[in-house]
Amino acid sequence: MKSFVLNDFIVERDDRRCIRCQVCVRQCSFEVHRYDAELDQVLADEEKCVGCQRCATFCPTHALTIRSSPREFRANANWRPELLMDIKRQAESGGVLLTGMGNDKPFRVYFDHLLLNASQVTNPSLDPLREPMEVRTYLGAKPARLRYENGRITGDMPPQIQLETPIMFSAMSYGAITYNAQLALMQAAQELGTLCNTGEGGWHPDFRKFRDHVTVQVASGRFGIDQDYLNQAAMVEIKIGQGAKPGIGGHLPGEKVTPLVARTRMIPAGTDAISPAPQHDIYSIEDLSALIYALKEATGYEKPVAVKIAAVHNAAAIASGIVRAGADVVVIDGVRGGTGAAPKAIRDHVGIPAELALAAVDRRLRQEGIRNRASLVVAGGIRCSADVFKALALGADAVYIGTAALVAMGCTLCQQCYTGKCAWGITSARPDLAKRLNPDIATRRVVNLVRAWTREIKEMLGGMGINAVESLRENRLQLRAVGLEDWEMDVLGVKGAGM
Amino acid sequence: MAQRFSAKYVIIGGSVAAVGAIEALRAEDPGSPLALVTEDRVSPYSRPLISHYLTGERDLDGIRYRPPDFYSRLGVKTFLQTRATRIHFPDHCVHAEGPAGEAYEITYEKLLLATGSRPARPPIQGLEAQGVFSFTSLEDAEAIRAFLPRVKAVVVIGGGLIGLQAAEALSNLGRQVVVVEFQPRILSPVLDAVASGYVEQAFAAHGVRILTSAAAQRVLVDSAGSVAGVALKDGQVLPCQMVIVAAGVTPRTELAGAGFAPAPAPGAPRAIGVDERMQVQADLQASGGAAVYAAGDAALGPDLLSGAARPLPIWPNAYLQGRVAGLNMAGRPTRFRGGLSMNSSHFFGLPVVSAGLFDVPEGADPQEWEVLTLSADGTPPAAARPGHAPRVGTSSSFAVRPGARPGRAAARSGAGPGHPQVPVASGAGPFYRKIILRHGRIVGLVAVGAGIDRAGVLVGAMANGVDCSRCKEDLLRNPGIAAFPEQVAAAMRTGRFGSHWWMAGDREER
Amino acid sequence: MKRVYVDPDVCMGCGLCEVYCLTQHSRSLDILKAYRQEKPRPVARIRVERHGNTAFGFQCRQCSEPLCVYACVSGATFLDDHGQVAFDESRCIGCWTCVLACPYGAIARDDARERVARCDLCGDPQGDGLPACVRNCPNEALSVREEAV
Repeated sequence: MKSFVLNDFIVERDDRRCIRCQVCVRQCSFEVHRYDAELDQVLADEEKCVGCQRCATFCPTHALTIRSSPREFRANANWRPELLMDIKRQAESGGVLLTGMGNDKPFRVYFDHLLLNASQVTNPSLDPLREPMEVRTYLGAKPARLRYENGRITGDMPPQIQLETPIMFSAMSYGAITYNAQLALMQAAQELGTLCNTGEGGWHPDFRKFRDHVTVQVASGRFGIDQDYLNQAAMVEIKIGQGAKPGIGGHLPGEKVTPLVARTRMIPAGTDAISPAPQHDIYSIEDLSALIYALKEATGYEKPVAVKIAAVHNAAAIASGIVRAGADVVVIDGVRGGTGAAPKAIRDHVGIPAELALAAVDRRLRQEGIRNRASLVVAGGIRCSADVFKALALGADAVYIGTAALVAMGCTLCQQCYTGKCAWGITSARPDLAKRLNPDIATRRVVNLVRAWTREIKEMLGGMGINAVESLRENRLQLRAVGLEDWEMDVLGVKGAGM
Repeated sequence: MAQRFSAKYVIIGGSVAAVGAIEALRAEDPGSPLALVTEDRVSPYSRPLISHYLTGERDLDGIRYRPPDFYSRLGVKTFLQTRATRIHFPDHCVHAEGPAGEAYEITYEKLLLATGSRPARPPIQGLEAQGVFSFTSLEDAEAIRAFLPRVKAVVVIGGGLIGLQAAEALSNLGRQVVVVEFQPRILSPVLDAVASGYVEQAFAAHGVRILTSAAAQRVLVDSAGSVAGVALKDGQVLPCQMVIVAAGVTPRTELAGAGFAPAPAPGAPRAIGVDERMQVQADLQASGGAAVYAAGDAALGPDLLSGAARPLPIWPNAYLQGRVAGLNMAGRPTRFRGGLSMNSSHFFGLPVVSAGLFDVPEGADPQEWEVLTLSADGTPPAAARPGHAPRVGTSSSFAVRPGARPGRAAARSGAGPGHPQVPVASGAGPFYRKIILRHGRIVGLVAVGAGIDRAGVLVGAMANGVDCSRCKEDLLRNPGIAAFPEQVAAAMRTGRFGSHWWMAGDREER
Repeated sequence: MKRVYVDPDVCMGCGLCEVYCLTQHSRSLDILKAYRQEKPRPVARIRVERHGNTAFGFQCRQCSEPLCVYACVSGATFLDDHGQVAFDESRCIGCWTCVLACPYGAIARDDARERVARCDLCGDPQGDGLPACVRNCPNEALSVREEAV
C-alpha cells in the first residue's frame, strides 16, 4: 500500500560546493544518496534518511546539511507529528515498532536540575594541578567494620575490584555492537584501569586476554556461558533487567546474528536472539540468592557478583532484597538507558529515571543499615562528567556509560541500531560497515573521553574542597536543586538552591 | 696509427639496451673503466620520439633519453659518431673509426653488442632517388625536415608502427599522405582487425589515405632524379615528392660475424642468439665469444610466454635485456626469463595497445581458449574492414578525439592548419578491450581508447601466470589487482610480487 | 624504500584519498577550485580498488625493479637520488608504455594533459611530512613505511 509516512529528514545539498565525489553515496548505509551520470548530479531519496549525519561529516566540502523535516501539520500540542507517523507506520505494517538507543522523550532529566557546591571562604578549594585527587574507588561488599593492625587491614575482606576512575563501560553485547566496538571498549578499559561488560552475547575468545577488566553477564538467555566464561572474568553480573526495556529480555534481530555472533552466543546463525523476559530459574528473591551463591561457588568466592535491575517503581525494596540475597554490587539502570533494539513503546514508557531510583535505593539501604554490603552502580543517561559527579553525590559508588562511549566512537543516536545498517560501524555486522570502525581510533577516542571526564571530576572535587570521591559519595549536601517540586527533592534527598 | 684504449666493459651501440646495461653495471661496479662506441651524434636519445622532433614539437634536448651529464656522471668514456668496423674476438679487441677517420682499437674484458636494427630494404626499384627516406633515426628526421619545404605529398611504404608514426607526423605538418600497406590491414603484426579498424578510421578522419593489400613496385623520378611518384603493382600511380620506406627492420649483426648469428627460422630475421644470461651462445665461445653479450633489437632472446627465441624489438624488452646483460657482465648472475610482446601507440590521440597474442591461433582448441571482449556499447563490435566503421554505441561513427602534434590542443577544437573538421562525440571516443585466455590464464590483450586504462594489470597477470579463471570477467570490466585471488592481491598490495616476472637470480630489495 | 601501505581491514572505500590527492596536485590546492574551476581537471594518483567487501586505496608500489622506469621511452620516469621512483611531467609524452608495463595498474592517464599521473609521494615523507592521502584518510587506513621488498 502507498505509505503515508512523511520523511523525517531533509537533505540539503549546496550545489556550488558539491564536487560529485560521491563520498556521500558510498558512505550512506541507508542508500539515500545516488549519483546520476546523465544529470551529473548527486540526488537524495530523503524518505530513507535517518539523520545519522554520516554524509555531512564526511563530505569534504561541507556541501551537505541534514535537517529535521518540519512536517508542519496544523499545530497540535497533543498529537505531535511523531505520534501521527508512528500510527501510520503501524497501520501499514501491523507490527511492533522497534527502536534503538535510549528514551528520547522529554521526561525530566534530574541531572539538569541539580547544581554543585564550591568552596569559597571557610572551606578552601583544592587545586587539582598541585594536590593529589583520589578518584580511585573499589567495588565490592565492604565489611561492617574495619580492623587494622600496624597500618594494614586485617580480617576477611570480601573480593574488591579496584577502579582507577569511577566510570565503567556498560553492558553492550557482541552482536548488538560489533567486534571492533567491543575490542575498543576492552582496550580502553584496560588502558584506563576500569571495567567493561560483555553484555549477554557471550565473551569472544579473542577478548579473553582482557580478563582483569571484564565483567561477564549472566542474563536470561544464558548465552555463551560456561565455566571459563565465569572464571576468567573480573566480575559476574546477573542481569535481571535493563533500563531501556524493563520486564522483557534482550533482542538481537536475525539480520545481526552473523556466524561469528552465533558461535559466541552458541545459537544458530540468522535466527533472532530473543532472551526470555524473566530468568526462568529466578521466581523469588530466594531463587536469586541461590543463583548468586551458585555463581560464587563456581568462581571460588574470588570475585564480586553483581545484580543489575532496571529502575522501576519499587526499586528500593527490590534492591534491599538483592543485597540481602548476597549480591556484592547492585546496578540500577534507569529509564534512559540505551539498547541495540527494543520495542519503542517499552523503551519510551517503562521505567523510572536513574537519579530518582539511585537516591531511593541508596537511602533505603542506609536506613536498613546494609549499605555497606553492596556497591551501587548507576546507569542510564550519564552524559557528561557533571552527571557522573552528581550520581556519586546521590550515592553511587561508580557509574556505567554506554551511550556516551558509543557517541565518543562516532554514534549520533539516529536510533537505527536494530536495522544492522549502522553507518558508523558500531552496531552493524555487515563486513563493509563493520570495518568503518577502526578499533585503534575508537579506543583512543573512548580513552580520551573518560580521561577528560576524570580530569573534570577532579576539578569539580577540588572546587568543592574535597580530594577523594569517597568523600563525595552520598554527600547530598553538596547538591542543590532548581526547578524541582518538593516531592522530587524529598526523593533525591536534596535541598532547594538558596536553602 | 690506431689509438689504443682499454676498458673492462665495452658497449657497442648507444640506445636503450646500452643504457639499461650501463645503469645495471654501474650499480654493481661504480669504478671499473667502461667505454661506449656509438654511431650516434647525440646520445642517448629516444628513437620513438623522432616523430616529435620531426614536427618540431620537441627539440634535441626534448628527445634525449637521459640527462646531458648521464655518461660523465656514470664514468662512461664515450666514442660518439664512431663506427665499430670489426671485432677481433680472440684478442678481445674492437676496431673502430671516428668521425674524422680516426682509428681506434679498444680492448675489453666484457663486450656488449647493443647494435640495434636497421631499416629493411623492400624489393622496390628506385629507392636511391632523392627524396626517399627511412624513419628510424634522428638523422632520418633531420634529413626529412630539410627536404620538406618542396614536398606537398608523401607516400609511406609500410603500414606498421614506424610507417604510421611518420604518416601522422607528416599529416600534422600539413602534407597529403598516402600509406601503402602490403597486408590486408595495417598493423597486422601488432593488432587484431578491430583495433586496426579503429586506427584506420583515425587516419581517415585526418585525411590520410590508407591503401591495404597494395604493393609498391617502383619509385618514379623526375628529370632531376627526385621523387615524382610511386607506382603500385596494380597499376595505380601515386604522385608525391617524398617517399618514406617503413617496411620493417632487421637486426644489425654484421659485427658479430657469420658464426654468431644462428640459422634463422623460415622468414625470421637473423639476430645474435643469446642464452638466458644474454651471453652469446656457448658453442661459439670457443672462438673468443666467452666474454661477449648481446641485448636489444640485435639479439634473439627468449619470449616469456612461448619460451622460444623470438625477436622482440620493443623498447621495454631492450632495456630489460640490457639490464640483465649488465648485471651478468658485472658478476651478478641473473637469468632473463623472457620478454613480452607489448606495444603502446597512439595515433591522432587514439591510444592503442596490445600485449602477448592479439588473436587466437588457427586451429585452437575451444576447450582451452577463450576470448572476452568489451566495447563501447557493451557488445563486441563487428570486425572492422577497411573503410567500414565499427559500431561504437551512441556516439558518431568514430568518436576520435583529434589531437595530433603540433597544435594538439588547437586541433581538439577542430581548428588547426591542414586538419579537416572532425566530428567529436561528447568526449567518449572508442572503447575496446579484448582479453585472450588459455587454460584460464591471460595470454594476450588488445585495447583501444579508454580500454587501455590499467592494461598493465592484465599484462602483469599474463607475465606472472596468474590464474584468472575466476576473475576474468571482473578484470575485463575493471582491471585492478583487487580482482585477483586474495593471496595474489595481498602479495601485490605490498609490492612483494608482480614486477619480477622477467628475471630470476639475486633480487635486490629496496 | 618508502611507500604508502594500506590496511584493507580498515579501508572503507570512501574515496576521500582520491579527492585529496587530486586537490594536492591542482594549481590552487583548493578542493572547490580544483574540481569546479581548473580545466582540465587534475587527476588523482591514488585509486580506490573495490571488489565485493574489499576496498583499498592503491598507488605506485615503488618497486625494487620498477618496470615503469625501464619502459619509459623519454626518461620522464626515473630513479631519484633517494632511489625512489620519480617523475618529471614535462618530459612525459603520453605514450602510455608505462601504463602497459605497470603490473599494479598504478599509473593513470591524464589524457587531457597528454601525460601520465603517478604517485609522487607528495608531502615530503623523506622528511617529516605525510602524503595528502595518508594525512586525510578518515579511518587511518594509509600509512607511510620504510620496508624492503
